[in-house]
Amino acid sequence: MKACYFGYRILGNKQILTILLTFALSVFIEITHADDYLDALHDEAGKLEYLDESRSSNTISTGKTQLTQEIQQALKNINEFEKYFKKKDSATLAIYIRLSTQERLRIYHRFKSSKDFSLAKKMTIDLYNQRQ
Amino acid sequence: MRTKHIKFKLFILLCLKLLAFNTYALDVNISKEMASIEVIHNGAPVTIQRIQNQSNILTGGFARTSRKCPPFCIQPMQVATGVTSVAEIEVLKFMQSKLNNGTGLVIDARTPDWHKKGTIPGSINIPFTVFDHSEYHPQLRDAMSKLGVKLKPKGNSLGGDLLVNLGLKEDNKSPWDFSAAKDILLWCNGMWCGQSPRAIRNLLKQGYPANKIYYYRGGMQSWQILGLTIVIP
Repeated sequence: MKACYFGYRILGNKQILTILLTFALSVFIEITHADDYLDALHDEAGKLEYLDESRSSNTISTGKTQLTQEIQQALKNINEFEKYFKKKDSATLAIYIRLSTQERLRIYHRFKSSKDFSLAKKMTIDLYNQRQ
Repeated sequence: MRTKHIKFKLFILLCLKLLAFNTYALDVNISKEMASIEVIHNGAPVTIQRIQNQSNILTGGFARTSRKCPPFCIQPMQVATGVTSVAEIEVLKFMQSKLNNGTGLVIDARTPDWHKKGTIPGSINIPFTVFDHSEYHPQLRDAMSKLGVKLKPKGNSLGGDLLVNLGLKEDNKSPWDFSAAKDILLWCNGMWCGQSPRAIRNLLKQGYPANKIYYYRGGMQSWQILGLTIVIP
């Protein structure tokens, strides 16, 4: 059997089969490529840490004298801590204000014991993630 | 004597005001005219400003210079004809005007695993993969409704739009009605990221008006290099 067009023989069975196979293969390659891209994106995302943590580790290196005074002020009570929080990182504060009073107190006590704001921020994010 | 006393009081008040202004003014501003802006993110107000620590440097994933290409290849400035490419100031102005008054949307076009690690405040996550779908897919329909786009009603038995049939109106083959489409600003990880360009190309294929699309090529990497605020969704 041959494929015909106005009586002329154009393609044989083998040729039709080859074209079909090539077409199927190209579709398969396209699909595989798309999946590859998503896999690569997923791998890259896996290598990425939470952005806020990377930023907080940088923020620690602020001028030492000023930071110490600020931290000492923030250690006085939870209100001062929240003022400090607002000044240092309003973005994470948006998450912090969604937490319960109990959770906020835990964060404050963590900050009080460690005197490390980045740990308080990390705890904020962790507690928020636990809720979800 | 009394006038002198009042003048002195005014002078003191002025000094106090100047002092207060200097106390609260930022050292690292966004521009001469802009210190910070406010946006609503997930229902809560967020202030976007720059990191004030002037010795801060970028670390972590976005400090990396090189990734395998393909797939992580450098993107052109012009993603498609008619689409406006923007940088940070334009993004912030877009947020101040179109986002805050509800006529625009900022779209984080990355896959959810990227988005959840940190995003630009005010953005909503619509992964680029959603725009790969056909109009019959519920994910695309849902996404389009967020952009103010609806499916056109099916044509009537007389053969659809009479004006089109009479040649009085251009035949728009798109199944979508873009009459209330919002201005949208799409971004992804940066100059090496193809996620938002792909979303834009697919939106254009769907018929989305190019003049309503903005592309922030710098994306998350540029945003971070400038120390702008990031939120964890």
